[in-house]
Amino acid sequence: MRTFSPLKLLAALGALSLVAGQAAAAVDTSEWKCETCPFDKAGVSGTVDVGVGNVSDKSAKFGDYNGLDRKGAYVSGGADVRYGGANGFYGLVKADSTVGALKGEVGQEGQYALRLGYQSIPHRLVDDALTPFQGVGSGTLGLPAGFTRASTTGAMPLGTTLQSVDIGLTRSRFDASLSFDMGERWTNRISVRRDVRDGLQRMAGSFFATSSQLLAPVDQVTNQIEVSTNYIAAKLQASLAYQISNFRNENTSLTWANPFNENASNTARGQMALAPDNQFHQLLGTASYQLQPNLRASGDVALGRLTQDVGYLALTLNPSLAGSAGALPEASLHGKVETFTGNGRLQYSPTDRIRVNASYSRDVRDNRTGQDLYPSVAADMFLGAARLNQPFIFKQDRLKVSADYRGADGLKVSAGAEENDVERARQDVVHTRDTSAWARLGLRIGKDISLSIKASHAERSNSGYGTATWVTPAESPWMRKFNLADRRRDTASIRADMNVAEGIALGVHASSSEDRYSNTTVGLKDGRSNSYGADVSAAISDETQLRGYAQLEDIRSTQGGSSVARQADWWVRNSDKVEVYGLGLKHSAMKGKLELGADYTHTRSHSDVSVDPGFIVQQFPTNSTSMDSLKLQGTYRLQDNMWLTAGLQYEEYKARDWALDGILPATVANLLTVGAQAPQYRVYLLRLGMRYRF
Amino acid sequence: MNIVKPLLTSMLLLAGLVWQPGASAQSATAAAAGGTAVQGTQYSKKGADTCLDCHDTDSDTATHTTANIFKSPHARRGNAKAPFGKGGLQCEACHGPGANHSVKESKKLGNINSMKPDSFYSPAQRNESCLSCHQSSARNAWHGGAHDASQMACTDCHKLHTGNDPVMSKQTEADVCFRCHKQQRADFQKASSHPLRNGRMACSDCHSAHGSSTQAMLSKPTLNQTCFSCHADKRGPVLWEHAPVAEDCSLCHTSHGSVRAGLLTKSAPSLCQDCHSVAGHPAVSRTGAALPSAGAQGSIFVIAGSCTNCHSQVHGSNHPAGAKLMR
Repeated sequence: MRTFSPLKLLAALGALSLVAGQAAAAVDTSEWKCETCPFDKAGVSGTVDVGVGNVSDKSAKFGDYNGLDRKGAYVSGGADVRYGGANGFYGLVKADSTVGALKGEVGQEGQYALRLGYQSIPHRLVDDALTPFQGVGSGTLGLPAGFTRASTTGAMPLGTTLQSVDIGLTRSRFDASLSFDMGERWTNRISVRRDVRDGLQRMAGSFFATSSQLLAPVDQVTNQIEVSTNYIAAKLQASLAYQISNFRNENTSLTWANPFNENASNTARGQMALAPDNQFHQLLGTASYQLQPNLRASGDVALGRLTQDVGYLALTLNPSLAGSAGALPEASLHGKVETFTGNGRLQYSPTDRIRVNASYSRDVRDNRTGQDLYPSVAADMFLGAARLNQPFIFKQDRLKVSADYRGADGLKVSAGAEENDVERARQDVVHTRDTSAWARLGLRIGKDISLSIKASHAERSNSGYGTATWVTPAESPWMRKFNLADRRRDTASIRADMNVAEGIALGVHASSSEDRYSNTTVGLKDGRSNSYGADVSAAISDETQLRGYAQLEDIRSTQGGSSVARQADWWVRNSDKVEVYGLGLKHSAMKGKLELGADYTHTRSHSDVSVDPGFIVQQFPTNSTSMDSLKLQGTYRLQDNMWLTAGLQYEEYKARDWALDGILPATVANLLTVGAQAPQYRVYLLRLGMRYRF
Repeated sequence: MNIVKPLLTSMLLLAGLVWQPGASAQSATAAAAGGTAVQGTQYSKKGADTCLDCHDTDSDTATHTTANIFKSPHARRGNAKAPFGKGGLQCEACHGPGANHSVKESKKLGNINSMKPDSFYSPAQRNESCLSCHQSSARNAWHGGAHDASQMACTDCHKLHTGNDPVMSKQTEADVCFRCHKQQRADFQKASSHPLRNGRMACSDCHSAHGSSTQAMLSKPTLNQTCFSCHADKRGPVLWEHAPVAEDCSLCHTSHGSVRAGLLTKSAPSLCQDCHSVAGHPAVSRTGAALPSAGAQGSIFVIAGSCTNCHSQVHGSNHPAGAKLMR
C-alpha cells in the first residue's frame, strides 16, 4: 500500500525558522519566609459522614450502577481524612459508600506514594426473570424433574417449573500502585489492578428453529499489571512501560438441556463456549522533545501481543453426529495477534499566534493465528462442508495536518486535513481511503458574545467491493457493509455564548451530521443527526444560583434490504428523537448556615422503525423511554464542625419496547424467553446523615 | 479525492494567515504598547508575603479565595517540587515575576499572569507555567492535541485555589467536561450509558484530557484497547471472529449513551441487517405485524433478542462449531 511521505512533511516543518523566548531573572528566595501563609497545620484533619437512607421500591433499573435495587433501609458512610506531617509524610483515606469507593494513600510528598483502592460497580439488568432451568449460576443448566419436553413453549409445564431470578453482575475493582522518584529526572510506577466480575448474564441457545434464553454464569477475573518509568529533562520527556493484562474465566462453557422436543435429532443438550482466557502484553514508549523553543516533536510506540489457547469444547454433544463430524485439526486455537501502534507528531509555532501541527500514525492488528479447516456442525443438528477460520487483519495509516491562528479580540481560526487509509485482509474490501478537511472559526462579538463555527467534509472510497468468499452461503452481492462502503460525510456545528446581563450567561449550540452511501443499494444508505441545545446560568443573587439546559437530538437512517439476493426490495427508516432538560438551583440561606440544592432532569426518547416492503409502509410500535429525576438536598450547619445533611430523590422511569413488552416465557411458540419486560419504576430515595469535620 | 487537495487548502489558509498584516508582529509585549502594563522579569521582595499584603480576604470573590491555595497540593511544604516547598517560587511560580505588579497600584493592569481567560497572555503562554513542572508522560501529547488546538488553558478545567479540584474527583469530573461537551452531557442521561451519572466512572477512565495520539483523545493506544481494558472478555482472539469486534467496537456500540440497551446504535434486526443478508437466510423485511401485540404469534426473528436469539455469540466464538456465532 502506497500512502504518503510523512517524513518529508516532518522534515520540511523542522527546517522552518525558530524564535527564542525570554527568560525571567534568577531569584534568591532565602528571605521568602511565607510568614503570613495560612498553611494547614500538621496532623490529622478531615470529614466523616454517616447516614441512613430508605429506598421505596425494588427496581433493577433504578439500582443499576448504584446498587440500590432493593426496597428498604440502608446505611451509608464516607470519610475524607488526611494526615500531613511537617516532614512531608502524609496519608489519606477517602471512602464513599454511595459510590462504592474506598481508597487510601501514604507517601512522602514529592518522593513516593503508595495507593490502594477499591471500587464496586453493580450492574443490575433484569428483575424477576423467569426460567425453568436449574443450576443457574453454574456452567450446566438442567431441567427440573418431571419437566416434559414439548414442541412449543405453550405445551411446556412452565406453570409449575418457572423460578424467579434477578439478572445482573457486580464488578469489584481492586487497585494498588506505587510511584516513586529516583533523583530529579526519573519517576517510576508499578500498578496492579484486579477486576472481578460476578453474576449472571443473558444468552440464548438454539437448535435450528427453536431457541431458549439462558442465564450464563459470570465469574471472571482480569488482572492488569503495569510497570513504567518516566524521564523528565528540560527538553526531553520520555516514558517506557510494560503492561500485562490477563483475563481468566472460571466457566469455559455453558451446557443446557433442550426444553424442546428433540424428536429424532438427538439434541437433548447443547453447549456454548464462553469467553476464553486470554492474555495481552504490551510495551509502550513515549517521548516528547523540544527541538527549538517553537518546535516540538513527540511520539509514541506500542508493541503488543494477544494470545489465547484454551482447549476446544467438543464439536457437538449430539451423539448421532459426534462420530461422523470429523476430527478437529487442533485441540486449541494457539491464537496469537501482534499489535502495533505508532504515532509521530510535530508542532511548530512560526509566530506566537500561529501553530502548525502534523502527525502520522499507524495501527496494525496482525492476527497470526493459523488457519485450519474445521468440520462443520450447525446447531448440533446438521453436518456441513468443512470451514476455514478467518483471522482478521488490518493496518491503518493516518496523516493529519492542522494549523490554528489566534488573532486579536478573541479571533481564532483553525483548519486541518486528514487522510485515513485502512488495509484489511479477509474482508469484503481490501483498501479504504478516507480523506477529510475541516475548518473552525471562533470570534468574539463585542465584549459579551463569543461565537464558534465548525464545518467538515469527508469522503471515503474503497478499492473495490467483493463478496467474502468464506461466507457460505454467500452474502448478497449487493450488500455494502457501512464501514467499508463509499461514503460522503458532512458535519457542521455552531455555538454562541453570551453574557446577556450581569451574572446571566446564555449559550446556544447546534450541530448537524450527514452520511451518504451513494453506491449502496443493500445496507446502510444514509444517516443524519441533528442536535440543538441551550444553556443558561444565572446568579440571581449572592446566595442563589440557577442553571438549566435543554438538548434536542434527531437521528435518522435509511437502509435497504434484499430478501432475494439481488437489488434491494425493501427499505427501513430508523428514527430516534431524544429530549433532555435539566434545571439546577443552589441557595445559601441563614448566612451560610443552610445550603440548599435542587436538580431536576427530564429525559425522553422516541424510536420509530418504518418498513417499506415495496407496497405499503408498515410501522413498528414506537419504542420510548422517559425519565424524570428530582433531587433535593440540604446541609444545615449545627456548629462550626458539624452538619446535618438530608436528601430526597424522586425518580420515575417508563419505557416501552416492542421486542420485550408482553413477551412472556411461553408467548412465542419456538422461543423460551426469560420474560424480561421494558423497565418501569417510581422510586423515592430518602437520605439523612451527619457530617463531622475535625 | 486524496490528501493533496485538503493539504493544499490548509497550506493556503495558513499562508493567508501568516501574511495577514500585523499578525506575526503582535505579542504580549505589543499588547502592552496599547496601554497595558507589562509583566517584568523581577520577582517580588518577600514572595507570598508580598502578595498576601493585598490579596487578603477582602479581595476574595464568591468563586475565588486566595488563601485556599494553601489547602491545595501546590502548598505542601514538605514537597520540594511544589511551589511552596523549600526554595519554591511560591505564588510567582505560577503567576510569574511579580515585582512590577507589587510596586504599583496595578489591580486593573495586566502586569501579572492572572491565569484568567482575560489575561493578556495567550492560553499557550499561561499553560507554560503549568507545563514547566507537570511534564509527566501523560502530558507528552498535550502539544497539538485537541484541547491544545482549541486553545484551552489548564485553568479552564483545573481550579488551583482549592483543596478539592472538581476535575480531580471521579464524582465531579464529568460536570467540568460537560461545560463544553454538551452532547455528551445529554448522552449520559439516556436509558443506556456508562455509569458516570452514578459517580462510578469518570471521563478520564477512557479519555486522556491532556492529549493522546488516538482519535477522541483516548487513554489507550486504540479505541478497542480502551474498551477491552474493562471488557477483556471480548478481546479474544477467538476461532470465529466477528470482524467489527476485532476492528472497531463503535461500529455497533456508542460509547456515551444510547436510547437502547447495551449502548447499541440501532436495534436488531436493523443493526444486523445493515451488514448481513446471506443466501438461504436473507435479510427479510421484518415488520410490526410479527408482534403478538399485532395479533401474531410472535416471530423469533424479531422479538426478545431478535437475531441474537440464535446468533448469541456476536462478539465471536471459540467453539469449534461456532462459525455462525451460534455456539
